[in-house]
Amino acid sequence: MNNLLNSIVYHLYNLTIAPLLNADFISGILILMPFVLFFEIPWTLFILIGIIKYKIERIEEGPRHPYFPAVSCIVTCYNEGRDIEKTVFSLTEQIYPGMIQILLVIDGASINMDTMEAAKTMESWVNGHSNRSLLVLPKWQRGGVVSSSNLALQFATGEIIIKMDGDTSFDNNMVERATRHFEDDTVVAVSGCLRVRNADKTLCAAFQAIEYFVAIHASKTALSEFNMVNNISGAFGIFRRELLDLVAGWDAGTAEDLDMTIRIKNYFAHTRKKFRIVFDPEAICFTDVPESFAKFLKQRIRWEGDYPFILFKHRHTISPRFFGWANFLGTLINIFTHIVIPGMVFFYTIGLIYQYRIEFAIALLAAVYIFYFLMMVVIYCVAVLLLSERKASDLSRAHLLPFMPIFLFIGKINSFVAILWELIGKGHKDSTMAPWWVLRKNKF
Amino acid sequence: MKNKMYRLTLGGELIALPDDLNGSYNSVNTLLEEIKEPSIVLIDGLRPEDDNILKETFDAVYQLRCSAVFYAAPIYFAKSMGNLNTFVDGIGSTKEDILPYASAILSRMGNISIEMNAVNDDLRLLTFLFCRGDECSLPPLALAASPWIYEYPAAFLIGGFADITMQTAFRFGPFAEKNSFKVTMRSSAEWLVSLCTQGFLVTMGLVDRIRICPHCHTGNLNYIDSCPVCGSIDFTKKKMIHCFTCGHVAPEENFKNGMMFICPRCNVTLRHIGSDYDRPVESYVCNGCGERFIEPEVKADCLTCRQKSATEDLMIRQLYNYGMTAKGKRAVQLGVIDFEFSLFDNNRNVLPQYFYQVTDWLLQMKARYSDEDFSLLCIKIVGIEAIESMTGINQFKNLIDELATRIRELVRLTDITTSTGANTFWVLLPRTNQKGGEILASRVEKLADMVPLENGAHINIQVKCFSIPTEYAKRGPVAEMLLGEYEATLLAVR
Repeated sequence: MNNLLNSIVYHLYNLTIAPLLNADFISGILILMPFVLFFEIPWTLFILIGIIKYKIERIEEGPRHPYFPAVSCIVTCYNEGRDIEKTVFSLTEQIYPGMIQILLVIDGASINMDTMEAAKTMESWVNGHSNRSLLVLPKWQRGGVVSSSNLALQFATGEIIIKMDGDTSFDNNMVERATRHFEDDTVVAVSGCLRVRNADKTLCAAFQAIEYFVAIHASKTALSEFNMVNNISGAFGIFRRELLDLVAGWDAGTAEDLDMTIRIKNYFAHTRKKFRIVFDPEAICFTDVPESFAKFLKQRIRWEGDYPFILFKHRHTISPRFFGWANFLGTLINIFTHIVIPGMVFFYTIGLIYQYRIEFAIALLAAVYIFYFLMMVVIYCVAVLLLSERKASDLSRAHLLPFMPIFLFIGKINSFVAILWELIGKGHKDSTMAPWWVLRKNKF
Repeated sequence: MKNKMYRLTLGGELIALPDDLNGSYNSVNTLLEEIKEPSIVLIDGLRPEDDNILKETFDAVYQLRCSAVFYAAPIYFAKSMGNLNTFVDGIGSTKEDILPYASAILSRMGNISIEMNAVNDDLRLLTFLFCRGDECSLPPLALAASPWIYEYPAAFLIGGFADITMQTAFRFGPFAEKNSFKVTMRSSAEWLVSLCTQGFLVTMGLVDRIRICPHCHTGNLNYIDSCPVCGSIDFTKKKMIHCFTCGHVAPEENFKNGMMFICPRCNVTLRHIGSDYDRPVESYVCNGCGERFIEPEVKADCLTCRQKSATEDLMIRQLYNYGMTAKGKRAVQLGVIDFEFSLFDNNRNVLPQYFYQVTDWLLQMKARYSDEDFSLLCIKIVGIEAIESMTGINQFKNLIDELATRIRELVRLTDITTSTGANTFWVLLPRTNQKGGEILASRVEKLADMVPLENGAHINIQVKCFSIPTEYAKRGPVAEMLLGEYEATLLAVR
């Protein structure tokens, strides 16, 4: 046992510190996961630069202009029951002098009577507020989230459309923060910042809270600075009404959010107009995440599995000609993080254990762990310092950072399984987002 | 020719055929002077779009119905006059249109003495209904111009209520006396209720229910929310915020800082409802007295007498279709209307035998369960005949109706009433002890003072409260005997 430990430490030293001290570090680098330096370090730097750029611009932004367009919030509900009260409550409570129309679309209202009832009881309460209105749209037959959104679009009166899930709730300045970007004509959509509402419930939820903070709050802020926002979340996306009319609403099928983002990008690349999709870390939405690891992994299989399906659907348009170079590059990075990295991690780990002695393999994985941990700590600290509006709450989870690389590693392996499942078993037809009789009719 | 038809011509185009007519008149007065025998009146020369003709038409119908000859006669319009159509028997310009129904009315009129029945408003209305056959009923009509909201068209005309409606604009209003006993100011609905209570009419289906002012019995009410302390209607809604961090509760404006909520006490930014803050309550602040309250008080402000009443104090008026009873028919045929004074409506008034049974049963209950108590109230109205001869039948009836309404207001829904003899009434008060019964008794007694009578006369109401001792319970049914004894003691007091 002692021997094994000594051996691990020896190899770890050889892999991390020794190459830096000795001239012979080329060989160390070659053994260390090759993509780490070629991809992860520039990526981390890119994010840090983006965050700092954002912070400087935010400080120089100046006072808010009195621009308060009418907003329609499309809330797609299914069986959330009384949870939709939180959503409606937090939308009604927005500190926003303009009109906010709340459209509650209840999918399969005949079987989700408790959701329907909760929605109906709030109608008079919301309509009693000035500049707030609530319209309940019961869809008696279940038809999926896309049909819900498109239906609500027919009733929406606002210039700005906010699409959200039924289990979300919002900071009271969300609408005010999000709408200010639309004063700039080139902004077509704003991607909102998702945070975890039930972060303190379980360890798994706390891990996801950190993941959301790093992958959404921090990373997307940086991406937005270079106009490279790669996805407008389906749980929380803000669109200019005109744009939704131009692309004729959401398209049937799963992962309609990513599909919409790509179609927006296509549209503008095609018409050669200048456009921007902004990510605003101040427009904050809280959502519940799975509280158990089993549910978490299952959810991710669904999400990640949808990614190749959307890329396959848009395979003809993913080129610099359609996307523009920055966006094309962004999409490539996306493909890399979603498809290539999970594969590499999977095969690398298997290869490592197969190829090398166990202590060497463990040492190598430990080196990778330390590397990811350090990068995570740097991004987390910078983001808490410069971006977080809830510093105390974010720092209260800092002690979990050492476990994050492991959590993410498991996530990546899980993603790879999801992609395999998608490629072999057509997993996206298995989605809970729409009933099978709707998905069956989809072209892909 | 038996069925005579006369035409009353107004300013518009004439469409009736001259061959059908037995005469034509240009004014109601001439018609009333010359024709002394009930006949069909056809009002012709109508122009519904002309406001002057509309008014003339209504005046003509009103005068005919107030007259001694035509109060029950068939009256027709030559063409439709919109809302006024409800005041006549039908529309038609030829004898073929009019005769089938009109001749039936006239033949019924032939069987009774129109002249004799004309002396009394009650008889006139009953005669009108009688002549229109068993199928006919008196339906209520929503009349926005009337302070009573609903009127019965036939009663409205025959009872001369059109005049009263006009007068109310001057008589009521802000100068109305507080709590004055408005004997003459009653609506056609109240009139029919009293005819129904006396058994001449019967309800034939509920049409509507309205709330009316308990002071003047009119229905133009404005439901207004006001400060529960000073009654001011000028108050503002204040939204409150409760900060979770430090527990501070204050109006929203104290927290508002630009487009953010910042707690004035602990300086924390409140971002998310439910996790940073909540709304403990929506409250109001009175701009008059500064009082804070959670729920404003809703009052009904009567636009006629300007008295404000709590909504639970409002009186409820049920509006029915009324039809004729056998008793009503007999009154019309004999030309005599027996005036019976009954305090309570039929719903709560039971036969004496039943009343005794319930009393006995309650006595058994009282003997078995110590917390069960009840008392009896005997009301006797004394010297009623003297007042009747002094005031005349019509005013006397109004007076008694008003008195009955007041007594009914004091009686609860759970109380049972009966009438054991002329002008003697019993009220059974369940779950009320002797003391509670005596309080009620004194209130009923005071009502007599509220009735103003000329010539210094005074209506005398004797009220006494009785409680049956539990030892009687062993003796079996004793109520009939005891109530007789009690009634005798009341007479002795006198």
